[in-house]
Amino acid sequence: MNERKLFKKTDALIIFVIIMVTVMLLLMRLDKYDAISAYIYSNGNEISVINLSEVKEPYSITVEDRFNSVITVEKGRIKFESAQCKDKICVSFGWLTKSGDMAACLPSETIIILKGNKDSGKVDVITY
Amino acid sequence: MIAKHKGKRKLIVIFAGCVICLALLLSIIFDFLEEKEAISYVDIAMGTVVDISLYGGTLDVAENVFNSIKKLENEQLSWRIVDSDIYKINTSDGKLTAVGSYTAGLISEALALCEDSGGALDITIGSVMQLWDFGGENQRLPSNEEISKALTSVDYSKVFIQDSNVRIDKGQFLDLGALGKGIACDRAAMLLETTNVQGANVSVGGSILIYGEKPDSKVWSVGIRNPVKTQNDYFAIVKTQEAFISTSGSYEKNFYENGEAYHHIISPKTGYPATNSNLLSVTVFANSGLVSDALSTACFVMGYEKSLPILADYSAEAVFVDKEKNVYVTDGLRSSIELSEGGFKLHE
Repeated sequence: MNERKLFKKTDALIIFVIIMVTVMLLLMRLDKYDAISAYIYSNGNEISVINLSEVKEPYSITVEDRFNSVITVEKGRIKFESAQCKDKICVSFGWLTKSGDMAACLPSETIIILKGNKDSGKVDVITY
Repeated sequence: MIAKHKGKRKLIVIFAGCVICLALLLSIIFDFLEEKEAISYVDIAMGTVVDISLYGGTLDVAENVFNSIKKLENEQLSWRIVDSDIYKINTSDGKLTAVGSYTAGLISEALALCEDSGGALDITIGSVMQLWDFGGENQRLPSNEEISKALTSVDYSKVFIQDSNVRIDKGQFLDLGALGKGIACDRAAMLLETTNVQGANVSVGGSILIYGEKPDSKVWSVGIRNPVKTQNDYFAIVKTQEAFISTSGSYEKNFYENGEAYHHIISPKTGYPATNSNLLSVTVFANSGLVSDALSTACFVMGYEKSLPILADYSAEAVFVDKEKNVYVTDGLRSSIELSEGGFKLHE
């Protein structure tokens, strides 16, 4: 009589499924931990929340504010692309990439602020 | 054969158990690493961004904090808004004006700082600031004649307070811009004390209130803006408990004319941007927002050496950065500051 193997194919399949399900759950958990979101406020109202980690293709948003701010969104980053305000300080902030980064067009009352765990550990707030 | 099957089943169960335990452990680690989410509220007041983060509070509380700052601007501090206390004083044509004990108290405290700074801070600088109009529609380089004329009204010693009434000389103009954001932080702290918020950080245009404790009971980490990069970049980190922190820097509200840079920290003596201190920024840690904000302006005008006595008098600590990126720190901060950007040199 042939000796039966310790593990049959079905056993191997069970073990494989257990590992794959666990790995998938952990990857989903890691994804949530790593996510960074951009919050856009206009005139004191939150008008958009964008999960920057999930952006696939770059795109633009035109905010209906006083100076028609244009915001560019890419995977992992966001910025004021242009604004018709006088000083364009909002544009000078450049790309926002880590939690806590902020850019504002004060004349338009439009603010972008990033929140999330990614790169957030070092400081709670910046004095400027 | 049956024993073999039982043995195999046991192996699979043990294996599955180990995988699940490992997964749970990793999940607990992620939970530990993940920052406890703060309640966040962001809006604009006092011509700047107000960013409120609360631990242990609600969105309503955060909104109340913001509204209290907005009310401070509208009813007490703004020289623009009709019916604010400062507006009333400035348009009283030299008459005694009733403003209430809170505003009178703020002005009294500000005058003490003007005196102690030897006039490096002067809240009657308004007529000069009106000429420059930094960040406004009429921002420009005033003429020497205009500045000389405006300087004749700059004299804090002429401000008179009697109970809750304030009088300034005709032609004088109060401008509390050098203290306003710090006062807003004080107002935020007053309101938070009436709530069960455990910890908070409030930024009013970069003037900071650090209140209570973080959820993990660790000390707070405050970044000091890198004066040669954007507002989101810092060159140093200071670990701190509760504090009020303000920074004055030449990188804000500045403009160029004929190749010259003009920043907004005006010397009350000359009527021009304070430049003889060779500083890029001063950050002050103090026991109140009003003091931290006022001293950051005064110390920028005075320079590092001349600032040390007034900082000691007010039990405040400070970080000075000059144009060569030399960093000078008062004794009380030395053990809690860490430079985090290359090119800056900490001086003993």
